Amino acid sequence: MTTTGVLVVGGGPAGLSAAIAAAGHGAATLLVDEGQMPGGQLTYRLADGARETGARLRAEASRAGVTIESRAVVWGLFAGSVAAISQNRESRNVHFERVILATGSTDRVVSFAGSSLPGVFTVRALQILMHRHRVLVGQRFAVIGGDANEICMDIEASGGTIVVRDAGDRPERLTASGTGGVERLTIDGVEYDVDAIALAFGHVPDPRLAIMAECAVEPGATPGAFVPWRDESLRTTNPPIFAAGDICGSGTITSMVAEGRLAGIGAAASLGLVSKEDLEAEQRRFAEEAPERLRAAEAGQFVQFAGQGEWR
Amino acid sequence: MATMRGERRIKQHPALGPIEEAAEITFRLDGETMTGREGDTIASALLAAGQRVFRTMPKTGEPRGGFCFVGRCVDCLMIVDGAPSVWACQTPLVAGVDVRTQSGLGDWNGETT
Repeated sequence: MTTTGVLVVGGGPAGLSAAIAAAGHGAATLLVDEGQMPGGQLTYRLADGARETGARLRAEASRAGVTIESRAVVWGLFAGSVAAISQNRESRNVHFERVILATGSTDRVVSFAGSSLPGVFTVRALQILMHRHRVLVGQRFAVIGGDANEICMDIEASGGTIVVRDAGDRPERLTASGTGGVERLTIDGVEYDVDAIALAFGHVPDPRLAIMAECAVEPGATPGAFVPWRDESLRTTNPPIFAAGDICGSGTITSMVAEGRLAGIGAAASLGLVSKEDLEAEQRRFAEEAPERLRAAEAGQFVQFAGQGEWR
Repeated sequence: MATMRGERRIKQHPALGPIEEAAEITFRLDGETMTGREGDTIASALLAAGQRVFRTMPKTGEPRGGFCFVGRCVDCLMIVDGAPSVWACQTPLVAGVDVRTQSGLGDWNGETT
């Protein structure tokens, strides 16, 4: 079984940034990402300089000597500091000294009558289709949900028309219908001719590995969200494991990059590769850049799932 | 029905510019010859061609098409080169691939549900 110093799970803005920081301070760093190339949301969003940031971070990761495995999934974290990675229909185990979880989030889904018809997509699905594959799935879009500004701009830039928007906070008012796919959306009895529907309800963190690794998690801001608790160096309650990015709640690209950097430096510091002074300087820098991202633990506030054994 | 054939590529985009040149890839959907582009997944090629139905539900027969496009839901599961329940959104399009819409849970080693 091979060993790596720092295993970064997820190659989006936080994961890339964490890997760059860890490798930059001398840690043997392995970044495992399920996409064709690293970048996560930076590979399909247009807003907030996503594409430029993705290109920059990929170049920096290469310069910093990060080992990157693409189309690979860390599907398990086990006692004894072992990670299971699946790639090409095979699985192998890797021993790690530290893990940085940067698995991000998935689109939050709110259902309504007919929302399972073909032609209904999440925001990310549409962004991947339009910006990575240059596919416009329809001409007349309904956009449902309260987090809709970006996707509306994206659809119109791609040549689609927004026929109707609705906050979706009362889904019982909505009915999508059609034969073999969406053909119309009815809202409070008013019928709209649409051939595609975007669900724009924000994001839910993906805490599965954190839970599997017995990191204490607490309810997050989004309904149904659980986020790992972290200290001031973004270390979770399971000592080898750090967490950064959307996995801890949605944020801007800038704050994801800052958070990833802090986690990478925190992990490197825990390995003795960064001085206490430099870690504190980084923490001060982070507190200025993204103060809303740090939360202090308070006794009794978090939920911890039943565990499976020794971790150190 | 839902198979509205036609070109649905975004040829010009204000931020992305003109669509890049890419090799055409020929594949089959339920026996019909289709074309996609180098870089497509099976799912993106199907949607580009106007094919919205990828599978049907086991009990009701209701149609499902792509939904999340990040390999987290089950709406894009199709039979690819004979293998059932393959995520079409995560599978790169390769020349000659045989794609079929999946009824229900698919045929797993002769056991159909």
